[in-house]
Amino acid sequence: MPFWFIKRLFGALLIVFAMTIIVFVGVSVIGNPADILVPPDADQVERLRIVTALGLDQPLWKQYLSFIGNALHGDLGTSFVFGEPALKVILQRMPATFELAFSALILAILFGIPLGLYAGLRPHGLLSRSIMAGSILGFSLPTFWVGLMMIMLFAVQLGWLPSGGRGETVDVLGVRWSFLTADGLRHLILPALNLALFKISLVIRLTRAGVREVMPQEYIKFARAKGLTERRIISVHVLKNILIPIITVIGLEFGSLIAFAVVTETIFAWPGMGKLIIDSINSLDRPMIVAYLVIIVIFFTTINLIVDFLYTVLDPRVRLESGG
Amino acid sequence: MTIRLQAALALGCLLAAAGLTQSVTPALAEDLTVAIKAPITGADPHLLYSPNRNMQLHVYEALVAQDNNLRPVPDLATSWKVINPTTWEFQLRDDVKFQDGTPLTPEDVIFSIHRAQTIEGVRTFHAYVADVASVEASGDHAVRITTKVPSPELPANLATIAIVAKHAVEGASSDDFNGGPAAIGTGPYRWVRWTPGQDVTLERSDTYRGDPAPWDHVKFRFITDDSARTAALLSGDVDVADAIPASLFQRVNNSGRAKIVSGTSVFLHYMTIDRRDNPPFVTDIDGKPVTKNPFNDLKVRQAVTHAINRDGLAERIMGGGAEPAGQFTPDGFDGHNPDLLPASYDPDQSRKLLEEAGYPDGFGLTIHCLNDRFTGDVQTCQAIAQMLTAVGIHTKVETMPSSVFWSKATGENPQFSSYLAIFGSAAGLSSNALDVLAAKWDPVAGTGRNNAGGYDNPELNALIKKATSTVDDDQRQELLQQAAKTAIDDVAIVPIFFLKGAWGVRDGLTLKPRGDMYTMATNIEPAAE
Repeated sequence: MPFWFIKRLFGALLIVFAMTIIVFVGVSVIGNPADILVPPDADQVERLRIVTALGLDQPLWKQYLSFIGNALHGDLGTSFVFGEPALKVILQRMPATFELAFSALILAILFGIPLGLYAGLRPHGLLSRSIMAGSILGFSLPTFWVGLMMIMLFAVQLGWLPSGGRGETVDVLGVRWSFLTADGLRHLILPALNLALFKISLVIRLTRAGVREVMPQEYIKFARAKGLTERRIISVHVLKNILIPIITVIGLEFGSLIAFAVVTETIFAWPGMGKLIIDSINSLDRPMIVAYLVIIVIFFTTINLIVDFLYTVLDPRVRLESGG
Repeated sequence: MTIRLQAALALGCLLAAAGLTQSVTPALAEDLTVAIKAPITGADPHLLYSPNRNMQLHVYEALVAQDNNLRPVPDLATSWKVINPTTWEFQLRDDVKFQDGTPLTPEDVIFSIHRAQTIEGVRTFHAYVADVASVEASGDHAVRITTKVPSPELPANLATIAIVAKHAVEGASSDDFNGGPAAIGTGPYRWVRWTPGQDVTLERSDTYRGDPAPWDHVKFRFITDDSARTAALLSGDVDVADAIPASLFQRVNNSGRAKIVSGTSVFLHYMTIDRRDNPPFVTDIDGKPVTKNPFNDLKVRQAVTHAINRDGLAERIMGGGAEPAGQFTPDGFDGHNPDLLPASYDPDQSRKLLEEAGYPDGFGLTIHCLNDRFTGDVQTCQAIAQMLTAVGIHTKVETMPSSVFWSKATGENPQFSSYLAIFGSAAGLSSNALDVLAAKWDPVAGTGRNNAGGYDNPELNALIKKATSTVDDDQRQELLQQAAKTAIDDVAIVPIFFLKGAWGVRDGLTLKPRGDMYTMATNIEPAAE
């Protein structure tokens, strides 16, 4: 196993460790979860019972140590709100978020790269200018507003697509997916597009900038001089060279797609895990917050590793460096 | 807040701009889809969380049911009688079958109450059955319940305890309640499946003893965003949507597809008053701490209550989504005193009262409010501050989310002087409101949990105590009304308004509102032609 991999792993562990301490201290500063959980008509006796049941009567360092002890056995705690293992609650919702984030990612690549390529190759054409103007809109319009407008237009006015929810699902390997059914796909279109809009714009602009930078380079001129077809020049020489920054950004953005899909999930009533973190913070559900963030740290670390790996595939110079 | 507001505006504009010509595809008459705001967190009926109970009420019944005003009415028990102040006998119906076909027996009742008392969990129904000492069968269709102390509100409390099938639930896991072997009730619907964060599906039960439910399937979809929930209604994706904010009432009513149905709820928006010697957020007119708490003068408290324009708040700020309150429970509910009207809006009277109390220039106050409790909470808070300032009580506003608010507002040493919040009793009991809001803070007896101002009125405390131990219903109601009057006359708290539940209901359906804002499929029917 290469040294940098171990280094990465160690770094991730350190982040998780620091994060758990911050969450523990942070939550205890905000307030007492028992005060949120106790039903309004319950009395002090009931409140006290809840405090004891949650172990909140213990000093914070004791609570933290017992958390660490359990975490080492793979138990990230039981959600205060759901009364179920926090990890289980999150994993139940993960497929929905993954499905949404992947769809958005595919849309971002499918629309973003060709459009950006076109805009980069013909920077002064009318269509290119429209694409660029459109990408500014995609950047600057708030997600929730666009989402609502989509619902109003496609669901309320035109009645073409459902206004929200996940639709029909099928079980594959014990996990429910909606992209495998026609009804599920219909439900997926709007939220995926909504979530992808920002990313599409991002990819368009990155691609265009890359193309504009690469086109005047000597090796493109040389390729032309060699008599290569325009098609081959673009698909091999241009595209391969502009992909590195795009992959870096897409990789990082994918992490944030998963971690912070909350706005889209809320507007489209998508049963993913994005909303879970917000609800958990509002109800001071500490085990959920910790478990969620642990998962997110693992995500980001993994994505970074994949991105690094893709570099070596795309860029021979990186391969040479690590080899030598 | 801003997001919510902007979203509502955006929705409004677009709806207004586009001519509403689209016709709705009518949903299948046999299936009902309901959009609800609050996602549920579990399926076990003995773990308490209000939205969960809304779902479970379709599946599981209790000895006693609640009518739409939350008053106890016979359900699995046809009648009950008090044998002596601590012994009750409940006669069970003899025609009740669980959804697997087995008949209901006293054993199931004993098991259910015992389970509710002993189940481990964060949120439980322990408090509702804390008085119960023992339950035993007294015949094939009767149970006898012994209480530790005289417990006249036992029937109302038992309305919260779902009766489950002993043979199915013994040793069951939480997953077994989610459509599994333990999900067997006696109610009109069967629990098919709960998908966390997404929906709950119910199905008509064939073993129900009463008239079969009007719907083959009922699907409750969780749509937390107000605008999205309304859009789902207007697009015809759902038949009913709950918790429609007042700002969208007109859009729904003008859509030509749905109408708003609203009803007063038991949820009271109230303001507390600090009666301690060193109120932390009361200052003199120059902003310096006070040496004497002005609120200890009844005239000052009356000045506060007359300074608030309740009609204006309910109609303007809340857009008709609230009803002015003058006491702890609304008309038609437990303990309502018909003589107590909402205090009149009379700023001149308030100024006069302040002057008589020796505060001609007024004084300073900071009120603390929640900003995540209901649509319009912050605006209500700001409006009240302005109304108080207008009569001379120079009021500042601080708002915060529940997670920060409650730990500071209540407890051993409350940190606010006046706060605004919501109170609602699941059992619909006014004694509960009196106990939590106005009775003396006493952690051992469990009274005065939200009485953060240190209010202590021995006459009121005695009245509440007497009311909650008086078994005779009429006499108890009289005592509760008397207690409400004593508390309100002394301005123990300042009642502001009762929230109204508001549902958007597709044309062709009728809905009867329930006092706890629950959306009951049993209250939704196809409209008569």
